[in-house]
Amino acid sequence: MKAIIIARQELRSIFRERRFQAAAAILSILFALSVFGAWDYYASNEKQHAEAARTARAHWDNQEDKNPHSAAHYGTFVFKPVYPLSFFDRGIDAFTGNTLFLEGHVMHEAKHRAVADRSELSRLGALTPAFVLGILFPLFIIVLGFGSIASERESGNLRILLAQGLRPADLFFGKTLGLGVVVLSLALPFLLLGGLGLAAPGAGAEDWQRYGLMSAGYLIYLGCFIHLTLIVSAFAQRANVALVALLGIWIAMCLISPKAVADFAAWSHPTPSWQAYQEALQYDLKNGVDGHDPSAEYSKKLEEETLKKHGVSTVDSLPFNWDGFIMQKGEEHETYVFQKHKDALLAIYQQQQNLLEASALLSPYLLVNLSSQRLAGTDVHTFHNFLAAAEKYRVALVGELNNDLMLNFKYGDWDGKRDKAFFASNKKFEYRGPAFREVWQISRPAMALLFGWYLLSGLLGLFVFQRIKPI
Amino acid sequence: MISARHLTKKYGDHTALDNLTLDIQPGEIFCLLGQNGAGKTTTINCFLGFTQPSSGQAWIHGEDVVQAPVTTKKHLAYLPEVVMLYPNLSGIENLEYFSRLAGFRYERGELLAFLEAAGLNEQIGQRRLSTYSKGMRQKIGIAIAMAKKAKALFLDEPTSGLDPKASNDFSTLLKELAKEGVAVLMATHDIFRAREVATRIGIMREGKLVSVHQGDALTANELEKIYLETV
Amino acid sequence: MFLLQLQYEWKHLSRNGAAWLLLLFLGGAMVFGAYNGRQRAARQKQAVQALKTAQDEKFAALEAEADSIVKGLKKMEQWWLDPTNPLTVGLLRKGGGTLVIEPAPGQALAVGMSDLQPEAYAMLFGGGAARGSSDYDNPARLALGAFDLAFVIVYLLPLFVIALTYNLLSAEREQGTLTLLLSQPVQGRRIFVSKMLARFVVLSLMATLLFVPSAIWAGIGAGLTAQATGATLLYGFFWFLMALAVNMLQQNSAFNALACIGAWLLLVVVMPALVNMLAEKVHPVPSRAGYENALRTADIEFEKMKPAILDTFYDANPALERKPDDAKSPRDWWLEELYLLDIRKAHVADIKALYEDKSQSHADFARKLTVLSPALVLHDYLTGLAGTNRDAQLATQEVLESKAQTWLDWFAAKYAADAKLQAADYAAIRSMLEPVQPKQSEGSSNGLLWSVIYLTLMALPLILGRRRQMMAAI
Repeated sequence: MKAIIIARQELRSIFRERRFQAAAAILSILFALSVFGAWDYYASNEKQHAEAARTARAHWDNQEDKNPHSAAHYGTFVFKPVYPLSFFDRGIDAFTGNTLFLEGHVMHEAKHRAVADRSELSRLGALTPAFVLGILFPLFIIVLGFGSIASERESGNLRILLAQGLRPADLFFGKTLGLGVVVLSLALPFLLLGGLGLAAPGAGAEDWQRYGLMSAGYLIYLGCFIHLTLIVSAFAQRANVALVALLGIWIAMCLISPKAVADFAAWSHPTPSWQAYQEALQYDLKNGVDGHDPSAEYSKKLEEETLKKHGVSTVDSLPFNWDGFIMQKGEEHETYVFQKHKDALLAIYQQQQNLLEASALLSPYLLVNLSSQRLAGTDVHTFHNFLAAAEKYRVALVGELNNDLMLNFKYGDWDGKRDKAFFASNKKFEYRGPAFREVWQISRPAMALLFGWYLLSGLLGLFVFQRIKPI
Repeated sequence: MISARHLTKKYGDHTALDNLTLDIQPGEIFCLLGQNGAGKTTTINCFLGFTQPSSGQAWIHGEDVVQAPVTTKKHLAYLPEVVMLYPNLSGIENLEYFSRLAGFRYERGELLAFLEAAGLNEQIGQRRLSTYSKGMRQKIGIAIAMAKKAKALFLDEPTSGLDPKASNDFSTLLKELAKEGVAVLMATHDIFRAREVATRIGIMREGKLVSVHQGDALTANELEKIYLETV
Repeated sequence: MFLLQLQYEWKHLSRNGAAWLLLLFLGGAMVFGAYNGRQRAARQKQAVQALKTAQDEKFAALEAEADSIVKGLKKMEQWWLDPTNPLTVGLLRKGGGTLVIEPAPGQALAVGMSDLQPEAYAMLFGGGAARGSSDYDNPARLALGAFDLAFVIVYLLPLFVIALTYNLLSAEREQGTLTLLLSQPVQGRRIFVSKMLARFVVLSLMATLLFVPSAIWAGIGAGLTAQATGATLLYGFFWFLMALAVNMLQQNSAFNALACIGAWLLLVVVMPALVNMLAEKVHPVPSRAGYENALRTADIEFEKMKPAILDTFYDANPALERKPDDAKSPRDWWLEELYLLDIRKAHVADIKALYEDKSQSHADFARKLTVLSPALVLHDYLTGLAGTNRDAQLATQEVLESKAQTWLDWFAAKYAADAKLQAADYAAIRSMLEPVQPKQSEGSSNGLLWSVIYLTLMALPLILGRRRQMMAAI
């Protein structure tokens, strides 16, 4: 009850301050600008990617008559899906290639990162809703709350309050509540405005689930900063000192630690160089089977087995086209190798991410950043999910071609051709991105840690307030 | 020697200082009494050149304050109400810094002698200012004034917030300075202290110097009565 | 006077615990930035070395094999494996040359775009292919941006300057020393100017003493370090003047701190994001999703134009016999393809140009907007100095492409002449594979111009507000 009186008083004094009015106005303008700037990010990218996907498929469907294997080399393109929430948090979107070439025998890397078409300036940050909520909003809390206790101490009010028999816990809850309401009075409209940005392109039910969780994550994150601000304000003798200390904490948490931890993670779990990756990949490929090179051991063994099974002595007497068969076997073996190396790479990324999560104690910003990207679908996992799906599709598409070669073409017939009707009947790439359940699963650890941060900082706040010095 | 002739300062319609004429001879301590806003601080600011008088003249050691703002400052010393000084410097260092700004370069021994004269020993002089009490800071302020060999000393509420002992020490110090020929102008609220140190006491009201009294001619009670009747 | 102030400013700062803490913090950041630069350089050196070694080994083996074949010690039936065949060695998939790109010398100073720059450029029949370890870097790390010396200077140095300047005058007022200073027989202006200068000299000294060893340790080299130090000091001076201008507003220290941090937030944190947003709005860059499709569409068109183009080829080379498709030997086919290569390149040039132009106008516009903040001006300058900006990247790309053209022409000529590659040819091949030195972009004097404008702007309140400042001191 007393907490509510404190909260009401805190609210009244904050709302009346010019500092609040100025800071809230600036923050609102920036958030509105960020939504304005990112408004068509999804719509325009989605349109371009959908258009590109249609064109690529049309190229495939309408290709000249050719041998199925030539078609496998002609190949096709698939494009990174764009998710509705990418407008809110772009995450790593600009840093992954958006075009993937699919052809027989080879798993290509995704090409064309958006950042490569921009100048080095673009590396300094984008004005997105995530930027405003994750980086600027905490500063707003600090500016409003740094004096919350320290100024009361300086003015002597704190002594009067405590002399009135106020329990320190009530003081803490009251101040938290007061600042919390101030934060909500701004954050909720922001999140609603962000929701408009999501509603405009017509998001599905799962996107709203993701957005709901993202919003919850940001609110918890801001709650952490309310606690931090009150703790420091209670510690500091003077409001000045509290302000400077809080600014230092903000800079360390929001600006320095993400870069520093990412760099540290990169040195402790290094990714391979281009040459090293390729050498390892080629080594594994060589030890397997190569559709074009039937002398390799695996294919020899396969040949012997197959011949024995069908009771014939040469591959040309098999009831099917051996080339089609062995190439698909090779494809299946190779995709295993390609995917193995991609997964190993993802595992390194995961180790780096783990380090980021492990250093969460340093900064809740790392946590909110991670979970927000994951929920927005602009993180490494979602990207690799796409790559794996595309690879699966590649093997399936090439498999259709090899199967046709195997069943409908004579051994050694590289000149027989298929026409548009056949190609148009080939499998289409239909990928919608990971399901919400999967996304929730990978975002859960960071979200849980974030909530842990909130609770722990709250407990620390209570502890500090119990020992609050009135003068 | 401190002199003013028809010194007036107006802020728009408001007259902060009205036609002040005053002479303070070397060795004299002149105390200005009056309520807040009576014009005491404005008077001091005019002598210091911080405020341009609207009319009239002010002289320090025979030089016009407005004409020679830098040279007049060679002859005066000033002690503001709040003398925080530089908290990270020691007493000696604060003294040396201000003396050098005033154009004096003293040996360490001489600096210590000034401190000694102001009532601070060497050990205290070496401590950082941040550890000083207000009384000790005031003494450094006096030492700075002495080191400058000032002919005129201006004090603004120097004893407010001092404990009785420190206040008493301060009065003694001031009297000694006056004995050496310094003209002192001191604005204060402290009637008791004023009567004790002042050669003459002026009471101000609404920018006017209403009455001037000899310090030793009155008791503290009489002075208080006059003061209360005046303001 | 100045020396006196210098001596005392040093005393003030050297006895200020918070100042030492800040210094330690800035120093730590610089050392970490320099360490990152070293690590990056070492990693890149390693990657480049691995590429070089692989290439050297490949060509040594090819040369030895070619030698055996020329001497008749060995026979090679398949032309696509033949090391004396120019097409095989120079342009086909298992062959091809790789131009290794040396790391930019200043990349430890400002990573810029260098973390996306490939370490090599493979010259193949189908054109160039970038080979970069960044393909395998964690994109999350790339997105977070590098903790390099430029980050420390652009983002953190202003905070250091602000923290030690924001209350330069307001503290004097709050300590009551301002009036005491003004009652001294020295002109107030002289005291202030020399005091400010002294404070700035001490700050510069501290920053220089931290930066120069860090930069040298990071391996940037003396010349670059000197230029970067100059720029850093100018930038520091801007923030110093900014803090002084805030001091001129006659508010208390808490206000000054908030105002200075607000200015920092606006100019260093918000402005870059705002500039990127504006550039994206005014000059949107199309997603490259459409790019490969456009190339393919052009290719389909080109296929239709092919017979007519080949007519000119056979007209110009009457010695060659034009055969129907099923009668063509691989050599017939490749000779045609080599001829078509340049024409195909010209055919798709428009598509490339379309995307590159959009991208360039985006970059140009963004660069114009750098004038909105000295942080952006400095960032622009430092990445230019380091040779890690977009311009440098494009310049390097140009060199790579022209070298690739030389390479292609050389092998095409050899193949057309039906030459067999021998030891002398291999020497020539090696000389074409010399590592490429990264191109420095043209240093722009824009940075300097804008620094001067910014500094003047910030100095104005000091020049104009001097008198008022002193009067309001009391």
